[in-house]
Amino acid sequence: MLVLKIPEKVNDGFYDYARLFKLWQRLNRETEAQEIELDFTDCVFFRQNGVAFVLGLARLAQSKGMQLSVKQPKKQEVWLNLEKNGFAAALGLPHSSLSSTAVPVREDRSKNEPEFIEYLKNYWLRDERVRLSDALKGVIISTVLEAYVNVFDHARSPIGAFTCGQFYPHLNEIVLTLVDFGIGIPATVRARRGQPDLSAREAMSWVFQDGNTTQAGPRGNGLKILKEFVKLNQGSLDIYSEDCHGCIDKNGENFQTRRANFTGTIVQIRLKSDQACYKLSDEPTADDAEEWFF
Amino acid sequence: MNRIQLAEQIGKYCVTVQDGQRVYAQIYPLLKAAQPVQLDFAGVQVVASPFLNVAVGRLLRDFDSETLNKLLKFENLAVGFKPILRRVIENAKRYYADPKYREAVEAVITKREEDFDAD
Repeated sequence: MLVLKIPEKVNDGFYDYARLFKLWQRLNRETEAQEIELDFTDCVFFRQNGVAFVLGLARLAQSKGMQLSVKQPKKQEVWLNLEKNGFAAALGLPHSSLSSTAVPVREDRSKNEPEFIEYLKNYWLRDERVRLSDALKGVIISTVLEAYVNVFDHARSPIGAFTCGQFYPHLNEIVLTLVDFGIGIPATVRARRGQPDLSAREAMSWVFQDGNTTQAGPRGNGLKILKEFVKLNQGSLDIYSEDCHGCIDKNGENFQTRRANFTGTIVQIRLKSDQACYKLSDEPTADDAEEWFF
Repeated sequence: MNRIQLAEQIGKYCVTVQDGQRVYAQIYPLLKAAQPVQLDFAGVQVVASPFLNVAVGRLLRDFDSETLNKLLKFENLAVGFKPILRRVIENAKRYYADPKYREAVEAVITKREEDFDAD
């Protein structure tokens, strides 16, 4: 049996992801085991990104035909949260009813934009959490949707996408993490540019520049729209794919090669939960009579 | 004036490529017949680039900017979505303005798709 020991603390910084990627690497290397155990015994702290990632690991193992079991954490609070956010229910484990206040983990095998929008609206951006107008929520949803659509248009993830969100009242922040187990952004860029030796850092940096796209047709705006939005509105964007970690915020864009490797893609979006922090556009507002085409 | 009320025809979310195609299919023949079109976003809560790329961006393949400025108007588009529409138009303009670039992109991507399919 393959035992994947969930780290004691799973926050949402680089070193937390590096530890999660090691679990994925162990699962990928495994060729014999028929069973897998997710061992939460020593886990005392488990953020939303861990929930999305580990649910994805569970699905990946199941897709290889492995029988799954879960060892509950000694710290009861951690398990209660896994019940509240739907993780336990998703794996068919005994659970109390879902919490009405937690942002549940979500999995999408295929693209379903309307349902994903309802999820963002009803859980992540619910009025009890955020002080945002409906109009601004619409724009935030549109922006986040770009990352979601990208998973299905590019990633070729055999088990789809996994999403989980979190609200930090003391920081006035909302965070959303999207995980896919596909081919990763660098592989798509290398194929598109016909440059198999391109490093992950070079590829990630390229795809975020204006005018660069891996899509046919006049498309490929998604990541740029997301990038501009977070930069303008005091948010941040962390992207992990292969050994590259990209961090984008109002201070700029930083793509680094790190000692951690994950072939899929993780997109983590951090935004303010207060309307006053949003600028929407740094350009003058155009009226309806504007000539749009130049 | 031909008014296309998106909330009625598509719904409160104008986000998918498929819905963009439906709108494009309505706009295209009207513009071809030199008829003015108003795209009305009243009641639409979410607008996203995959929809706009097809519904609006693709029109730059078929019509020049002068014609589109004269015939196609946008109404009630919430201010937060305007940067997205602007980016979509800029991107489409760049793409369709340079046939050599377009052909090169399409050729590479077609080859990539074939390679993946062969794997």
